[in-house]
Amino acid sequence: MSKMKTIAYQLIAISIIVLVVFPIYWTFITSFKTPRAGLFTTEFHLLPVNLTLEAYQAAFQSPLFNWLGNTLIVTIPTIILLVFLVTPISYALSRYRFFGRKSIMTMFILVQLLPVMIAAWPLFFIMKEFNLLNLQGLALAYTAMLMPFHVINLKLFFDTIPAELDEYAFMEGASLPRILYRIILPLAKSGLGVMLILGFMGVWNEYVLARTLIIDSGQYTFSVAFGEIGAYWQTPWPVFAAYSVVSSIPLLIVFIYAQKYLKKGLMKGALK
Amino acid sequence: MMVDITLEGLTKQFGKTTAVKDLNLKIKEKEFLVLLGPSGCGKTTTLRMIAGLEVPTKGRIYFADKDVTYLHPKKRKVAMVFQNYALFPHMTAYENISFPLRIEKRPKEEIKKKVKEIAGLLGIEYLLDKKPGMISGGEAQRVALGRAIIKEPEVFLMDEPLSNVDAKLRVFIRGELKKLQKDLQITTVYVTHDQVEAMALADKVAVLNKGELQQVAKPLELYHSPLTSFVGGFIGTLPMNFIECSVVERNGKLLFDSGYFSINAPDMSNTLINKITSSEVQIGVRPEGAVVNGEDKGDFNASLVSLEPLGTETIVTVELQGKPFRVRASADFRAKIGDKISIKIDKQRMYVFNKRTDKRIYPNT
Repeated sequence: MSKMKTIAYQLIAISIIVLVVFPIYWTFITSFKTPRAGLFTTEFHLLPVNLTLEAYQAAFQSPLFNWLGNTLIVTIPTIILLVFLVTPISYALSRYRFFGRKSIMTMFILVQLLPVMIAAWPLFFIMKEFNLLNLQGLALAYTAMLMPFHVINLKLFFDTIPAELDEYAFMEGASLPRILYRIILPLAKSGLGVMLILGFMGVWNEYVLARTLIIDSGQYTFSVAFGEIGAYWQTPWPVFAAYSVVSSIPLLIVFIYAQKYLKKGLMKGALK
Repeated sequence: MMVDITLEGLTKQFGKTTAVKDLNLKIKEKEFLVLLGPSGCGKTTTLRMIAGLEVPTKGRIYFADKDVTYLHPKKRKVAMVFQNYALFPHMTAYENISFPLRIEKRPKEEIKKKVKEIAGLLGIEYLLDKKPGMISGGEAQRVALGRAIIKEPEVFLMDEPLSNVDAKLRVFIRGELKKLQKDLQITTVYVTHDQVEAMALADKVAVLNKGELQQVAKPLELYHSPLTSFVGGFIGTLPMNFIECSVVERNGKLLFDSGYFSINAPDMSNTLINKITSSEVQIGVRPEGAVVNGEDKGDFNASLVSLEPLGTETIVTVELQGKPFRVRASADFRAKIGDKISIKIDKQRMYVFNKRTDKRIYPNT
């Protein structure tokens, strides 16, 4: 009976894995098909036949690297701004008791429930007024969009670091920025890892704000360009799949890099 | 240069609660003073005010003649050892110990020399390259001490530094700590809730309860001459026994009547008798201030609740007024639970406290 149960559980687990992994696998093998072939060919092969790199060649002839580059140009300042703005806010919320502290935290939690569409048009006009449309304004908007979550998240990491450490450093005459960036932040490395991965993913996948704030097609981020390709251009499915594969590579790299900190943080805890 | 510390009318309030109330205390230079009391008595708050981590609501703090009440901790030349050591987990022992000097941007060579010297003094050269996560509690303790010593402070402040060290090692480090303080001759304020630790370490102990200073005295004086029933009950491995009594006069003699038995009040001067204004007193008897089954008839009989044979002695616990009453007896004492035991109180070693004010009435203060 229990053996039957185990087998049943394993079957369920395997089918879930197949369900999740199969679309990724499908995209992957499709990207190696010849562009003339459709996504839903009449003869379906689980293992690809006639592998070619034609789809990639086609993809590389488009401004693919421009789009990826644009995405990076938005991502990097967003992450840097996030770290420098979120750290002091989280620190203040974690260490000091002041009037309005709880309301601020509640607000940071609640605004995350609002859809980004609510802010899209007002943001467009604000950025236009300040001459910040396109990538620079987008980085600012992304920072604002990602901040609430990361403020709360990093605050929780800071809460696990004993205040005695700050007090000791303060007694020795360390300045507040030194305490913050040289002592507390290095101890919240796993919190930073989370910020890096989720920040990167957030920017990489975002469409609505990018579509709204970028008016110069030369500055399209990948997600916007991807939408355009699907909507207007006659792109064969294998090329489409090649775009998808190439665009996920930077995310994978970041994930592999930041995952080290995540694991460390989860396993060891910031302190005993 | 060594300093003495004066606390003058020190008061600290957090919202509506008063953590420390009008505390006046003088700590002589080179003295090892222990602030002792149960949790929430205000001892840590007092230490944090001396350190400069809390600003007093009222009162002043002087180092020598200098008013430091509002001075930045850095400028007070104090070194603090925290309960959890507060070592930086991402720095090696070397980096931790040298932290105070690196903040001051001292030359590298000087730092290296001093760390070596301190590490030698504390016997921790072998762990300088290790991070706090890789060393034991006792070793972390030494690193924290090294970090405190290296800046050559005028005052040492220690907040229960031994509470995270296991019991056996604690006794050992305690001895070392006392020797170190005597060698360096640095004025030290040490906070603990452990009266044994306080007695073992201190030149003087200040006992606090509910934010108020109960008594400041040398350890033995504290034990033999408690000013309040709180101090009597708090100091000593076995707590002092208290018997609630009312004062009655019979045939011109004063008697303490416990409801079960009465004993003669000790010979007291008239002024003392006048001091017993309230008719309710507490008699305090240390476990060694009474004897079991003496030759004479005892003061009272009570039934045995428990026997704890410890080898050198046996702790006899009987029930009196619904509370345990403990007496130290010889190791060969034998009895069964429930037996009636006769106990005689040594009148020379008896204390009488005013029940309302907690203050000692006898022996005369």
